[in-house]
Amino acid sequence: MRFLSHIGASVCGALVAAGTMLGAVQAKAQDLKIGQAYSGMLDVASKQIPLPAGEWRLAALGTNSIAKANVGKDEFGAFGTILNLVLVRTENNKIDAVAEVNVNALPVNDGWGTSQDCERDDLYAIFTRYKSGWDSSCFFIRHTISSPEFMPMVEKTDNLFTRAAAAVSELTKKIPVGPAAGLDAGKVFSATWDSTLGQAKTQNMAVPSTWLTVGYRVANRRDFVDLRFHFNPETRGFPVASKVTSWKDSPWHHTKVEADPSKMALIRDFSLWGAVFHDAVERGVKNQLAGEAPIPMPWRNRPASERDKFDERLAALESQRAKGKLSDAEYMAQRDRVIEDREKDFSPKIDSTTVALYKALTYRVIVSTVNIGIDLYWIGEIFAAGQLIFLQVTINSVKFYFHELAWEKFGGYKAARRDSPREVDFVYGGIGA
Amino acid sequence: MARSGVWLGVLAVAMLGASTAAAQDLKVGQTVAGKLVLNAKQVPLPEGEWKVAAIGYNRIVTGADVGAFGTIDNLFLVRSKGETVEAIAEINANTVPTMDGWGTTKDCTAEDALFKAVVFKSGWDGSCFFGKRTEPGPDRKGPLTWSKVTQYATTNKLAMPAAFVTVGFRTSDRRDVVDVRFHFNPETRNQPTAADAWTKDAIEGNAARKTYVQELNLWAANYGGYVEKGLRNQLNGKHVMPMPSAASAAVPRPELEELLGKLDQLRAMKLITDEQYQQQKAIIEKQLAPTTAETGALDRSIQKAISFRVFGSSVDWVLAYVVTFSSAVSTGITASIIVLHTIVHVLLDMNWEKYWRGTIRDGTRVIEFANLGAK
Repeated sequence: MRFLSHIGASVCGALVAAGTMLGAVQAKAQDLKIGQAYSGMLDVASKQIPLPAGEWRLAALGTNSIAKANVGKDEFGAFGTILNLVLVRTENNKIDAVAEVNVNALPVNDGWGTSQDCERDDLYAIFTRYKSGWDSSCFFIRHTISSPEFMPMVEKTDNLFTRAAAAVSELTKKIPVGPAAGLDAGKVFSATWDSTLGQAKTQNMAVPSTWLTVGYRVANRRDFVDLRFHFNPETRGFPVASKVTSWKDSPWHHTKVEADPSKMALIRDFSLWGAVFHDAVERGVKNQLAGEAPIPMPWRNRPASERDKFDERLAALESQRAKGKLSDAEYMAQRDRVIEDREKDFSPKIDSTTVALYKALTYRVIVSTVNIGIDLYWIGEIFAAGQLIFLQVTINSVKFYFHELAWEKFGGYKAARRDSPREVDFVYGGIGA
Repeated sequence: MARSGVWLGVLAVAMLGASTAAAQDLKVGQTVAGKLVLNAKQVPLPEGEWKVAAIGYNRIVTGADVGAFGTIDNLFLVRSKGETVEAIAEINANTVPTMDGWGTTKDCTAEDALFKAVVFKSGWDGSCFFGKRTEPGPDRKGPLTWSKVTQYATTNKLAMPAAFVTVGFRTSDRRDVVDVRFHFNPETRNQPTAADAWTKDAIEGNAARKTYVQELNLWAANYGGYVEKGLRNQLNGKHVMPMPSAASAAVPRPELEELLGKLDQLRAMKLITDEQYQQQKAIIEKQLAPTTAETGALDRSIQKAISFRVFGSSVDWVLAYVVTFSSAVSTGITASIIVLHTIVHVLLDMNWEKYWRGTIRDGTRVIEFANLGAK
């Protein structure tokens, strides 16, 4: 039986509740039911969350916390809370993928930040489309482990994903259940989830010990969406991964994958898919997903030009040309620009250390010229003045650079907001580092 | 695979009438109310019925290269009172999203603006509003679409004033821009329509006009939040503002009330604790007035120069003494350095701030379309 998508359900609810002015958070939250299947996209706290094709069953729903941030947590203002959802997609009686969603409940005024995962150098791939003081967009690909041996450890983080995974893997254990459609933080397993476990048990479904994760962080001045898809490599033809004791020991660690052509091919496919899906995540943050067919699940062996089929900017340009709003020449010029933009990182390239260095150099040239005059005037001897100038150039340059760097980094007024060094992370499923 | 919710979305539109009209569905003469959807952006409309008077394209008159943006859609909607034009909505929006942002409008910083405010402004997003007078006379260039508006008015026997009092909004982010300007006919508020009645001096000298402009200013401060929400497609049926009036000016910021309402819901659902609720309530209540992205470049440069000088001068004196072994000469050199280097430091730092603001941090980029009343 096909369940109504969340969008349909919420519109229905709004019509039925004639005149009732439900706030966005309450209306959407009440429409999300654990165990219910959704497709296409979800509406969560006034952001659209795209889902790849197929049915995704809501496994867990609750709240999250800001686990890590390189600024004070009070800096984010009144964001309400962080809503956290976990959805499961099954295929042929196996868990094919899990979607992990974090979004802010209320809009803020001063932006969010990127994820530390988008700043790492030990993942398969990271692509930052842009990053500024107040907006950012990136995606990354890595492996995530959820070995059952780790369940007791990661349980302590109160992580909904691991609780969901633990519940599925421990099929004979009695799972605590919470209110049927409630949002009590910490108690999100419902009778529906229990029945899903029952189905999983009868169908002998298991949770993989390793996932391949494609994660996105898109943020603007008001809102953010952190969306992570954990794909089961076993449903993609790879053998069951051996249990490991740490993330680095996994056979899917990037240092081990590089020697395996089949794994590398899979990751390349995920990279192309990830880039295509990235557009949908960005549009979703602005509620611009317009009911088009969902993007298929990650595909195998398709060429890079596949991206053109899903590029909404190209589609919009084509539409403009068809309507006669753009001439052929204008269309071609703009089309070339869109394709060129794909590979660009629109972040500012200059960081604070580079700014300090440039300023130190320009300052040094100017004041050294001034110093020649000062030193000659007071000393009256060229050689002695020359010695002093040499000392001033060397020692004062270093002094100026570090002074400038300190102001760039700690200078108070949004000096550090130029390029967004701000990072903020939540509690995530599995072990990703 | 079509989502099963799509037909319900269509049903909602049918039942609600023309509340949510998409630009591609708009026709001249059509009635629109509440908001319209233009190229995946929502544009809020004040309450009442607005008739589409003209649809066309615009051009970027001044501004940096914004990349592939398609075209600029340009619409005019008219709200009439009997046989008089009460207000005109002039809307400009890009048709294809860009990647590197847009920019502000010079109207948001014009010296002769009746009022203006920059809500926020960075290298890649901005929101501001302004008030000014607009004269749609024959010697004003304006957008190409304007001629269709005058034809519409003639056909429908609507009288146009000699000048409007305009409240304009520019909201943009990295991908999209919405420039919406409401041109209000002062005659419908028993105010004169002559252009020279709406200069800053003329307003200052007339209590009734001053009150009217203050009402518009307060209305704009409230309305701006809806324009921003529209850029993110977050408008719903609640987000309809009345037309500017003394009553609407007295209403506290509806956006604020909505946020507080949502916070109440989160507490009621026990998703936040009472302590978290109180902390966040206090933060929201502070967000009353728009703030400008003032950078205080001069003050900062002076502070830096002082902090550097305090520490640096000691080092300078020591270096001079190491070479000269003379306290007097070292002091003379150091004193000269303090004076001259401080001037260089401040000037250099300010110019760097200006340079970096221009390229990255503060949004100095200005993008203009052909607007009604432009000379």
